[in-house]
Amino acid sequence: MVESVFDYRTSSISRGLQGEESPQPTYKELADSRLNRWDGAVNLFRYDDIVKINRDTTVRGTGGSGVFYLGSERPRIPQDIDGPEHTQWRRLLDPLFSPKQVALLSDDIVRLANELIDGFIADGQVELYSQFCTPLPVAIFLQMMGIPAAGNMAMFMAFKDGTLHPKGETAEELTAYATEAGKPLNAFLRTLFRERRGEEPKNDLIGALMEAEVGGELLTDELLVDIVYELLLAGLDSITSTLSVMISWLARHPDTRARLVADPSLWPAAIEELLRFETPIPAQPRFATEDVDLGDGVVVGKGEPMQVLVAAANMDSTKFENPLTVDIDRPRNAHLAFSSGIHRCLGSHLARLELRLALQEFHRRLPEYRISEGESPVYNNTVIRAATHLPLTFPAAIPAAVRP
Amino acid sequence: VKVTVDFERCAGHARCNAVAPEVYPVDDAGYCAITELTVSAQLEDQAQAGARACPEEAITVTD
Repeated sequence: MVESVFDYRTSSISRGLQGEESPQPTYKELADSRLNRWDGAVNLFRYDDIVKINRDTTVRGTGGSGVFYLGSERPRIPQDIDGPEHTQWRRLLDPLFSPKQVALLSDDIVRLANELIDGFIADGQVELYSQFCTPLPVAIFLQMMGIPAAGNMAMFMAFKDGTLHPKGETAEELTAYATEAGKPLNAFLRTLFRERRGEEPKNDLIGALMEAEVGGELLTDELLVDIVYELLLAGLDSITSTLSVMISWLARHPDTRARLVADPSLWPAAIEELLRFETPIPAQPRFATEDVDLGDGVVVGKGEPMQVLVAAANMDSTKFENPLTVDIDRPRNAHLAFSSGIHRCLGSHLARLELRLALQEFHRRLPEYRISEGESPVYNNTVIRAATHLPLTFPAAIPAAVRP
Repeated sequence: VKVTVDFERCAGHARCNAVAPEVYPVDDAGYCAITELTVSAQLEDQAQAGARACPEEAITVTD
């Protein structure tokens, strides 16, 4: 365990960009400078350095901090685990989130997206973060997990807001707030697994985990809680935030939007470019357990906490020409929005599918929209970048359900 | 052309498969399912596009 006072939530960079609508020029400047040592951590900004760190088997991920920042009672699986044990968990979880597996959700995503749009399309205006960006990914994720949404939504919302966007000034206050916010979910999950053990097996993700064997043994309820806690933490907020910043950008760039409306086959490339430009999860903590030589005299010392700013790497002009320009025709776009190496985002395939279907359906139904007159989107960039207030105005239309 | 995939580096992004599915199949976990492959000149552009899409720089395409 690395002794550390560094907390990425209260770091100078995170604080400085907290409510910034356009953090990209700052990230680019940081990438130009390669690295700095602020707040007791090595902040890394260059693409090649970050890929190297993420690939290094002596470097630990979030688990190296020894602090449960986000309200879990024990290390989150697989996020806080490194080395061969991490590989073992990924072997179990990767197939459950593979491109082939998540594709089975396609029809449900399209249906639910249209139901949500039907709910506001006649109004001519909507606060999109709460009416579309939040309910769609949450409902899809809970369905995939096999957790009933009815009666539990308030608890899930309080959990994700309290753990990912805790209130407080100091690192200690933030962690204490997140710990409190995590308690109801920990209790809910313990009850859920106890109840499900008494029921017939179900064909959902929790059912698959309950039948899975690791090292020849079924998983204990404690391990199941540690996995599902992490899945909910990662799954309930990230696609919501990503959808919100993408639509906020598109609302202010009608030319690109018109191209996408005219030719929906451009969506996958546009989504990759907006993932690069917006990088909704801007940074990850890393911990050196041995010296790491990054070349040109740059050495991260054993015991040093690091922060890899993938948002800066995605603005690295040695990798991306004119990084501050959103170019959906970019020929090379191997961005690090889902990070890289062994901690590559487990849900990246679900995120890409859901973003594509949600954006495609949204723009099919609502090709013309803008930020409502006299209002602005409200950004929060701490831990996850989101447009948490996204007021849109559009020509009112008749909901599909009541069309003759 | 010859395509080589460094399985140690592959982290299951499946970007190669997304941009060039004919060259890069993925396994049930979403990781690149080939380690070495010779493809016709017709598929060279696709093979190169898959290599460029990989954030791990795990793919090499040689003549």
